[in-house]
Amino acid sequence: MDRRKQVLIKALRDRDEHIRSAAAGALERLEIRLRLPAFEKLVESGDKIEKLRAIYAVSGLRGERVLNLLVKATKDPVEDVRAAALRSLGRIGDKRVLPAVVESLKDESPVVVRVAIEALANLWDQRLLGPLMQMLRSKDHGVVERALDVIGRSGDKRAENAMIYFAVKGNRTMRMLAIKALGVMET
Amino acid sequence: MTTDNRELILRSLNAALHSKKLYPPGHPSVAAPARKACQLLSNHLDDRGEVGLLLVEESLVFDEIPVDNAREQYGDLTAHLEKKRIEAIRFRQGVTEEELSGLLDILTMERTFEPDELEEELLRRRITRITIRSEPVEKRNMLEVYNDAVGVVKNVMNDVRMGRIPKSGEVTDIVDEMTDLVFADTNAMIGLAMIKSYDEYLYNHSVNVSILGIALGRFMKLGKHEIHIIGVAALLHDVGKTGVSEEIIKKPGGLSSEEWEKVKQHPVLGSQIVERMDGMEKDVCRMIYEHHVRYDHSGYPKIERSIHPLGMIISVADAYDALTTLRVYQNPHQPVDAVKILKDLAGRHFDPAVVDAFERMIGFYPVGTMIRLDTNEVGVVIKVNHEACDMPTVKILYDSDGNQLEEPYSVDLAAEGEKTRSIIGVADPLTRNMDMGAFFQQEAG
Repeated sequence: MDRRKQVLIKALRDRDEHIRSAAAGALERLEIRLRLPAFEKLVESGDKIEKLRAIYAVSGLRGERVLNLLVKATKDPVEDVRAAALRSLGRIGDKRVLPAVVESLKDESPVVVRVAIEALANLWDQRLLGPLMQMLRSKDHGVVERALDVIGRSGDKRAENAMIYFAVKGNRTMRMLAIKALGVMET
Repeated sequence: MTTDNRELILRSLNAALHSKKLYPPGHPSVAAPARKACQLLSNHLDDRGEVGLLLVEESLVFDEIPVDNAREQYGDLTAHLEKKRIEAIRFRQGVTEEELSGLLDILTMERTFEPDELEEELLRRRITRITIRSEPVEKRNMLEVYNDAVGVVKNVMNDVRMGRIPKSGEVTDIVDEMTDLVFADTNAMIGLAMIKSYDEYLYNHSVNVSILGIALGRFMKLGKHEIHIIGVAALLHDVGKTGVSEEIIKKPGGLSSEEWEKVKQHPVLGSQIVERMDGMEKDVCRMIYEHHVRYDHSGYPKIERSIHPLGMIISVADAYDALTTLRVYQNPHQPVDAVKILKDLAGRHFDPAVVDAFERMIGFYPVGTMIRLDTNEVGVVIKVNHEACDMPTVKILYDSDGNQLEEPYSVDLAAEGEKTRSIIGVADPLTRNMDMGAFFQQEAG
């Protein structure tokens, strides 16, 4: 790590402006990685704001340790922390976290479920259709609207009946989503 | 003048001031003692030509003679003089009942006056035979004013929630104070606008938008009155969110379409609330109504007319503060990145001329930006440099080895001898678990 750091610090004074800028960016990411143990501790025992800061600080990184930290945060007692962790996992888009995100579809908070569905849009896999179809039965309109959106974008024909139902029976937003989906769906 | 006459004049003035608290203007209980005071005073002025009422180190002196037990005997009179920071009132021969009544009005007004404003007020009321000398109003600490402004927004929103019509006085007074401070030190006030509250987002956000709006109005060389209404409209722009359930406002995720429809009502609700507040200008209500209408007329609510010329200042300040705030659905953008986003949206969401002015005002590296120098030191921009935009004044917080400094220090990158250090890039406060608002609170304290 020290050797990497030395090279990067030296590059901060390179003649080439782009090299200098790249070195600053690399140092920033390296420093986040060096602070991962501290972030893990914050996610474990920090207050709500510290946990949120830690989640967003690491969400620009990749790698198993970062994913583990975020997956752990999806089980946090605070709704906001779980939602932020799921959002970050969705942005990272690493399919290794799929089971954890699917598990969050059972979260007691409909708001967290909405975020989990949004995250699944970036982790799409055919096997997700079943769990997402279950979400169409939710009493929470936000959950149903997001599920319709993700399923609709998948273009999976198996959702045809559900889309036909919501194209007629849903609220305005649901109808719009279902109607669009019927247009792009596989024949 | 005999001792008794002096006592009678003071007693009459005190009685008139006391009655003004209890009775409406023109009520006999106010008019009678004022008339009596004027008669006695006129008689005495015929002999002396001029008489002074002074407050010297908390003691009352009338006609050059200290008054015993003034605070007990003439409590209302001394309290009003102290509240208005009045050192001396001089009455000259020929003073009329109208002039004395005007003086009593000034003494009992809610607002405070600067010395030159007092002179203007006397002139406006055509009071020529009474002069007042007052101390300038002491400038309060910036942080105190910031926190008071947050309190004002809380009070206004609580009043609305309780079904009461909020009072305008404290809103306009705090906006005036914030305006004075923005004029005195724009950088420090923009630094304070980095104070964010996660759980009570709305209150701090309202104050921050007001500060940024006032600063932008000043930068655009707008008139005093225009800046004032920008400050007021910005402070109250989200008051309509009191009409939307808190559960929706604080929801840590995307809203359902029904919830979103409810949130979209807040500009209309807000303008209706503010319309009912005493003395609020129509322009303020209109700016609140339009603060989510975009430059291309998308957004909400739908309007046919053109957007209020000052409205876009609030929209830009609103977006900048929202972008730089940690929300559950958003990693806070660095100020530099927030400006880039505003620029990308110029011409569609925002008036390009206003975004351009905002960019020039806030600087290339806005106050509150964490930066990395080519020495690998990391610091925070505390003062922009409009002449050399990439060389602001920064407070160094981490040394070149990445160690946090026990005693951070300021460096003016443009100053002689400092030209060897330059900014290479932006650093992320989140990496260092740093609360930028707490940093600027400490700076202001």
